[in-house]
Amino acid sequence: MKFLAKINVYNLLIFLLVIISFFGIIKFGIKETLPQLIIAVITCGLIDSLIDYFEFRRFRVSKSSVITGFFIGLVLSIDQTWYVPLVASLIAVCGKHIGGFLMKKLFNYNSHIFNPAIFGIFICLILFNTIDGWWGATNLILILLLGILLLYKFKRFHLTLTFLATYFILSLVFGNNFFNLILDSTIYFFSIFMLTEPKTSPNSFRGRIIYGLLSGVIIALMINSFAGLFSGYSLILGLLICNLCVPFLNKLNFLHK
Amino acid sequence: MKILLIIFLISVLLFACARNITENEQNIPSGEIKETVQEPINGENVKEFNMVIEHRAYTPNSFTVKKGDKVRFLAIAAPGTSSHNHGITIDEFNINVAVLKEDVNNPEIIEFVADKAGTFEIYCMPCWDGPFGKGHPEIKATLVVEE
Repeated sequence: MKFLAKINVYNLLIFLLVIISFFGIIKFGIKETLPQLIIAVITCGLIDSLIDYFEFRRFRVSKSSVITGFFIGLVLSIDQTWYVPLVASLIAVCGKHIGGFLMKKLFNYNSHIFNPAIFGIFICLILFNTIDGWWGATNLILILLLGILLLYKFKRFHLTLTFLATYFILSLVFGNNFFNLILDSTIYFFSIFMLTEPKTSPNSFRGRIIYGLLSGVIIALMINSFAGLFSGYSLILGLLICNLCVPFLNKLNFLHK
Repeated sequence: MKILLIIFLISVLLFACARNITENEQNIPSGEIKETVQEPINGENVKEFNMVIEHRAYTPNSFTVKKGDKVRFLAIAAPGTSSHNHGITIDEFNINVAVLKEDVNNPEIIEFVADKAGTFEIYCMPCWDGPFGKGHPEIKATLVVEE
C-alpha cells in the first residue's frame, strides 16, 4: 500500500494499462495489436505536446494524452488499418483542446466535456465504419485486480459500484442472465477505467453517485431496448451522453454539501 | 440556452449513430439487413439473412420466418473481431456455429429448417470459448417463427 500511496495516479494508470496491453497482446498477437497501440499512444502524446508547445512555449509529454492513446488502442477492434488509430487519436486530442476552449469561452467551465478517447473512437466508428473490440478487456481477473488498485487510489469505488449495481439490476429486469452479466469483463473495464475519468466525471461525491446511476440506466436501456438499435454502440454512445450531463451535475450546489 | 445546446448535441450524436447504422444496413461489411425470399425449392421457402456479429450485438437482431421455411444466415464477424470467436447458437434447432470469417464475399453459411413455431433466442456460445472466455458479453438476437 506504500507503493500506492507514493505513486502518482497518472503513472499508476499508465503502469496498469501497460500490464493490460501486455496480456492482450499475448492473447491476440503482436502484429494484430501492437501497431495500433503504438500509433495511438505516439500520436496522442505528440499532438498534445505540440499543442502545449504552441500554447505555452514549453515541451512536455502529457501523461493524460498517453493514457488516451492507450484507451484508443485497447478499445478499437484489433488489426485496424494504420490511419484509424491515427485519426482517432488526432480527433481525441484536438477535440479535447477545442472542447475545453469552447466550454471556457461559452460557459466559463474549466474542462472539456467528452472523454477524449471515446470521442475519438466514436467519430472513427462513423467515419470508417469500424467497430469497437475492447481487446484490452480480455482478462476478467486481471481487470478486476488492477481495477481495485486503481479505484483505491482514485477513491472512485462509489461511482463504479453505483454504475454496476444500476446496470446489473436493470439488465436483470430486462431478462438477462445473471452470470453472463457479472462475468462480462468489458463492463468492468469500462466502469473502472473509463467512466471514472476525473475530468469528465462530476467533481462531488453526490454528483458521482448520480452520474453512476444515470450512466447505469442509460447504458442498460441502450443495450436492452430501442429494438437493439444502439446495442453495438451502447458503451461508447452511452458514455458520451452521460458526459454531457457532468457540467449540470457540477453546477448543482446541493450536491457539493 | 444551455439546455438547447445539450439537446442539440445529443440529437447530433444520436443522428450520427443512427445514420451510421442505416448506412450499415445498406452496406455489407457492417451489417446489411438483407432478407431474401427465394423461390420454393422442393416445397421449401428459403429465407436468407445477412448478419454481422459485433462485440456486443448482432446486426440485425431480429428475424422473422414462417414455419417450414428454410432459414439461411450469411454471417460474418465484424472487422477485427473474428479472433473473438463469435458465432450463432440456437438451442431449439441444434445450431452452434463459430463465425470466423470477416469477408462479406465469403460469409459463414448457416442453414436449417424452421420446423417449430415460436420465438427463439439466438446467442453466442462460441464467444465463451474464445479469448474472452466467460468474460465475453452476452449477445442476443431473436428468431420468430410464425405458424
